[in-house]
Amino acid sequence: MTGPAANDPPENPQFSMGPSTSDRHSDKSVDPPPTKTPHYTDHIVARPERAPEAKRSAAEAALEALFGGLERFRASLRRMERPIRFAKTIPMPFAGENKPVDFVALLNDALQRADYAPAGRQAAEDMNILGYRAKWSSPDVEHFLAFSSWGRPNQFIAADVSLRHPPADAFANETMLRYLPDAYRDIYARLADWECALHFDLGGAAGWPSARLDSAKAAPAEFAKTIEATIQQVVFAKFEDVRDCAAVFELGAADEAPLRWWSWGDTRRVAMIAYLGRKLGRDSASLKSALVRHVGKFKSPPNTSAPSAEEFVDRTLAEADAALARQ
Amino acid sequence: MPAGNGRPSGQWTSGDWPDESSSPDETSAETTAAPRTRGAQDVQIADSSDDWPQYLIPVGTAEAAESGNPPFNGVGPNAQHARAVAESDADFAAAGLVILARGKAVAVQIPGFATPRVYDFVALDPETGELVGFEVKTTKLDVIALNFSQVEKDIAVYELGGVYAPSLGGWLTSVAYDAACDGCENLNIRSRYLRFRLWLAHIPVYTRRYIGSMEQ
Repeated sequence: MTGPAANDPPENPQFSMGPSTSDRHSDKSVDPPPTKTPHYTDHIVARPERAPEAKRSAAEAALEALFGGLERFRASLRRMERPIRFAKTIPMPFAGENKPVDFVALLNDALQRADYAPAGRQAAEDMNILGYRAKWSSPDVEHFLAFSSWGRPNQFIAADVSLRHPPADAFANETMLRYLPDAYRDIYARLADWECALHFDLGGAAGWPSARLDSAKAAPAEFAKTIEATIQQVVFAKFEDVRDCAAVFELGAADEAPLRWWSWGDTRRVAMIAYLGRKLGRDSASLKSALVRHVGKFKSPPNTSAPSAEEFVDRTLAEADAALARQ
Repeated sequence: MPAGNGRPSGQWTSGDWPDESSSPDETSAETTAAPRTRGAQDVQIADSSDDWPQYLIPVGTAEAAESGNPPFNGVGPNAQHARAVAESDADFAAAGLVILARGKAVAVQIPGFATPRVYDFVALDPETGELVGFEVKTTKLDVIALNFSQVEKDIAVYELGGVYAPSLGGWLTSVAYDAACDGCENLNIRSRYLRFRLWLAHIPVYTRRYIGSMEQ
């Protein structure tokens, strides 16, 4: 499906950096997409190690000659990343409104009526994420909603529903870090409260078109009503009663919409369910047989070997027992 | 020239200019001997002082997008971009990838960076279980502008050998760009440096000359 020029290095990298001329539309009639080919990323998206070393060296030399002090220049780029600054408002275009309406105020009001309180914000590039915690959360189970808005201007809305048993989620994150390079400590340290192991896409579950809402197609009041109605239909109808450890375990261990297990594995959820199962006194052997097929691929730190799925579940169950014994 | 100044059209109206009836000598004497006092009708049209930037009015992207004026080169950026994203994910789905969170931008944390990388969509290789982040760039009759922060994060994905995305439960190991320009004979991808960086990292940039239906 790809034009051959998509990733072909130029003959002379210094002077042939012009646009790639492949046109996938025109290519379609000549070279239709393959219907079945194993290891798609190998040919659709080449990996760095596939680049011939000689060509890489030549290209690096050319780049050094063009820009001088390449590494110094690169290092300066990362420092140029803008610090995160949250605007108090997120202006959003709405149907029937001449001026943008503040999405933060609109969402705060709508979720206040649904008994949620703001739990924080994140910003990235053109995306804003607003987190909310359910006021009706129990001490054992916290319920969250996270709304992301993106576009220029912000116009599209998607939402995630997540819930957690805080000690189980903390255990799952610690477990992941045992098998990941140190760099990931940074990521896990920055996970927001609503980025739980157990989560699903609200728009997908509710059948929103393309799993998102478009603010430009609705008036503000109608938009807020849609959000509230979706929360009522999806969250309250299915998850309001999930308030204790056993309910979270049943929900997480089952493979039912909207919390289906991902086909490619979900190792963090495996660790969370292992912890909850052992906390509830479930048999290790039955837990292992249920969870082992959901362990995803690992990329372990250098000089260590990635555990097999069986090894991972065995170790995790033992670590869960140890963690519970320490409490 | 400003309207309603009482002069025939086509003439400069600055009071700094000599009177039409004055001779060159008189003008020279007037301007060098004594500064001319500005009258009520005088209008200053230029400022060559050091603080000329005071007249600039910075306008951010969001503010410009919200100005209410239609963009000169077609429909708003969201409609154009959404169309290209939909077309792009359909193409890659047809090639066998599984599009995750269709219609939803996906934020991925990358070690070493303060802010996440937001991909237009993420696709799964069903054979390997690995994820591919797709960045769709669109324009109409204009250059494709790469963003250095995005490019650096993409390259970091490759340098790290992939990043683990907790929200997706998998390893995002590859990145691809899909650049589309409506009405362009050839795509002009800027900047040259960032395009080079992508090429050097072996990150592919697919291109197309049209985005969906031109009528929209």
